[in-house]
Amino acid sequence: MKTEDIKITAILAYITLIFLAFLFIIPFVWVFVEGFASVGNIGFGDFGTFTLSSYYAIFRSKYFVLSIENGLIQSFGGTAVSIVLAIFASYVFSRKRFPLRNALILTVLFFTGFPVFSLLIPMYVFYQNVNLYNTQVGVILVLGVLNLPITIWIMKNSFDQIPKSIERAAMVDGASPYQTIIHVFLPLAFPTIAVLILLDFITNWGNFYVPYILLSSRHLFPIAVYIYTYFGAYSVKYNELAAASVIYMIPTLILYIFAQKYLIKAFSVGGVKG
Amino acid sequence: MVSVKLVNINKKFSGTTVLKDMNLEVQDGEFFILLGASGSGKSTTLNIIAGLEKATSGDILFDDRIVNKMGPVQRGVAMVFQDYALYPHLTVRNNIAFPLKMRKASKEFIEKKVGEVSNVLGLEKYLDRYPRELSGGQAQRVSLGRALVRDPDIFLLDEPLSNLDAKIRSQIRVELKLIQENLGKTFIYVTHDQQEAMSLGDRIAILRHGKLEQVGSPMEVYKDPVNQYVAAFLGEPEINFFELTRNSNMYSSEEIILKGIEAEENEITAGIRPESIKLKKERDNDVEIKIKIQTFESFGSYSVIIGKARSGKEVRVRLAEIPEIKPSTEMAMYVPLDEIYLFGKDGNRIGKK
Amino acid sequence: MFKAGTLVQRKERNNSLFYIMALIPAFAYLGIFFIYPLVLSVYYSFTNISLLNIDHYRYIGFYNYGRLFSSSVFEQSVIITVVFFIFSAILGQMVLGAIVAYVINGTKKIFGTVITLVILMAWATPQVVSGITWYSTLSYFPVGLVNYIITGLGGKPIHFLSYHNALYMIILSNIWIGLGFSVLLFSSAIKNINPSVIKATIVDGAGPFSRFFRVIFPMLKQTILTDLILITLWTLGAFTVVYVLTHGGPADATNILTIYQYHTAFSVFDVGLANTIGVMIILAGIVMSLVYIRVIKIED
Repeated sequence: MKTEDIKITAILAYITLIFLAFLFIIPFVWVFVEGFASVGNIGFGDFGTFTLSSYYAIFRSKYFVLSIENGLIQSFGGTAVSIVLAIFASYVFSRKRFPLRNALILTVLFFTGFPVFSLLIPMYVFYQNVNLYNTQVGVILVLGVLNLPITIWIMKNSFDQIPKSIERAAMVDGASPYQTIIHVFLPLAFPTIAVLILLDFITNWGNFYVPYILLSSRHLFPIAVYIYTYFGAYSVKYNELAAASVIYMIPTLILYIFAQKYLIKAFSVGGVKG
Repeated sequence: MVSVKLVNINKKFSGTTVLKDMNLEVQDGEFFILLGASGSGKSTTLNIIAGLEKATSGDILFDDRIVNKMGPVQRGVAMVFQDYALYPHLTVRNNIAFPLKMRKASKEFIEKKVGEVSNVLGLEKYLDRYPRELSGGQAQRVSLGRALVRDPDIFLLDEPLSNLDAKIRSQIRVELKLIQENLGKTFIYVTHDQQEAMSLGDRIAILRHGKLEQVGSPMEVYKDPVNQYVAAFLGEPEINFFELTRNSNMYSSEEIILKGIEAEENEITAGIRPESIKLKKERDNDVEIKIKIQTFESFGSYSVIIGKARSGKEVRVRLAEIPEIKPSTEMAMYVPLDEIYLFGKDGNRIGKK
Repeated sequence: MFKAGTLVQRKERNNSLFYIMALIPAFAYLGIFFIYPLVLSVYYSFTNISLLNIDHYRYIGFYNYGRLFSSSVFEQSVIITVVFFIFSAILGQMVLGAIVAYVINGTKKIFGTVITLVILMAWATPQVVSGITWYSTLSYFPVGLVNYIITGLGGKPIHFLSYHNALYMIILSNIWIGLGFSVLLFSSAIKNINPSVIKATIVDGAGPFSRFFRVIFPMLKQTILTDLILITLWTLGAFTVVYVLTHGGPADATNILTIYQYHTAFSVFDVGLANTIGVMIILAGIVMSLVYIRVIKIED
């Protein structure tokens, strides 16, 4: 290959990638522009003047503010359940050898990529019967269980990295298994656990169908469902919809920038190494 | 103040036997060494004494009290690890304080204890550092401090010096010996390094393939090895072995001839330590060996000669003096008969046991 | 002294108890909220349970399965799902993702990071918002961004979400969502390839295309498998974007299996049949999950 050819391919690579990135940004254009428009139409003919009034308006809406609150409660609740249960289970999986261990780990792995949407319809009937339908707790419990398998799996792999001698030292130093987890494993695996909290939260915050199927009262809707029902309503103020969407997606996007470095590690532990 | 006794300890890992019928007694206040090559089961023995691993069968006694089912804390042991096993997220101060915190000791007590221990080990300057900011020697001192702070009855040390470089190793070796003498507590120390074993131990146990070969003071095991393995394991340079066959009333090989010894077997092995070989004949019955000098190394206070017998066999000689020798010359050397060890075909010393 | 021994034995037993107690909550939880609905789903698929009356239903054997397999809507839904899967997941995410990652690998590091971040933004966006953004981009009336540009250039506006076009649009939006993940996965795998191997191919005179297909592609086997399984499972469970963007329409043109299942349960109230569809999706998922488990070996 001649050097000119290499140069041309390189330039071509840059142009192609810039074009691709441009294509990826296009769908975002409207939400970011429309949110500052004084005219609430979806089209691009007339935005009116630049204004922050949509943002003021949505924050004055009682149900929007409530939906942020609900979204936070449900996302954090689900995250807390997954993380706490995963910490204890992962410790045992990482450090103990017992008869059913492999079977249980396989169970966890099996549910890691399960197409969970299809379980929500039997879940709906089940929730009606046990009075968990249309409750925050009900949503939290489902969000928590959906993330539990992958959380256990990643955390176990992170615990596996902690040297055996440190655990032994803790044992000799008189730490009970519980104290070992709290004083040794948690601080040492903290970076991974922080990323897991981030990832679980983002997943829960972005989940639409769980609260959509399992909730019916407007005052319990998280922001995902709030925005969807607002979008589907008859007289939509599109500038306010856009403003709400921006508010909804900003935290996720910011958190993702922190978490993206670890994403691959999270999903491909064991997989890439073989 | 505790003595340790292992009675018929067996340990199997998924079918393979790691320890076989181990019987061992460690006296109270003794610096006891478990010496062996890798895979000899020395670390497993230590872990079983610590309560980190369970024996497949057999009893562990601390002062005649069976402790088989106790964890490390109840046994009152402290442990120092080869890779130090410091908690990387804690400062030196908190690393040392950790065992006390686990027992919910009072703040004042912890502070006082940490102060004492860091004073003994010269760690005052490093108390607020993290393990990653320490040199290997400092890290090992912290690890030792974490053991000291608990006032345990027994200290277990698993190759604590093997990750350190040579200079610091000998320095900490001396410190360890002093600490043990001052405390007067039982130390059980695992190593594969015979020099460490010889210089530190009150007694040494030599392990091989999960079996105890010999227990005794450093001089006992060195001067009076029960078998070929122990003889070969200890000593630098390594002992010379010659295979002899009976020839009427003497035993001979291509290199040496032994007269006036008593053995039943027709084929025996003679072991001659390099330092038993002398330049001059001292007694009439000294055994002569002729070697051609190949290399000659002087270490100041002693010298080592590697030579070849006529048969081509390598012979190692260690001399207390620095003689003037030219390479490639052949010379006769002499070994006092009573310094030659004789081993039977099974490797055991003839005339012992 | 004997006393101390028994006390200690109790403590040892407490440890085993602790390990068991550490596992029980997680698995009881998985059992109730994951495995139980899974069992229920299979169970309901053999009944005529309806949302109108969830307390009274009866066993009807394989009736729902018979109905489903003879239904043209189901047949069409399967075809749509397969097309959606092949074009949006296999070609649009995995193959394109591998190529984009390869191209990125040849550019400056900071440039590649920025491009990856931009592409990944789509993956990170909550899917309800993704649906809305795509709607705003493709809308025919009121005029969306693309049609605004087309008319501005003097062209005729295109009905992107019409019966004939909608399937392409959900494929496009699913590629948009998923590409970032595949790019990220392949980027890290390509980075792990020994650079001197790539240098050797240059010295040996391989062009960028043969270098990619003959050398790099075969070295990525493990990554390809991991990616394939994950995106298959995600695409199989895709719901939100399609639901927000087209609702499965117009006239069932984008009626992928999850949408079909949802409407069967919540528009037709036929929970029995909806669960039969669910069982089909789950079976496909189980096959993929089992493959996934085989790929990821448990080290011990």
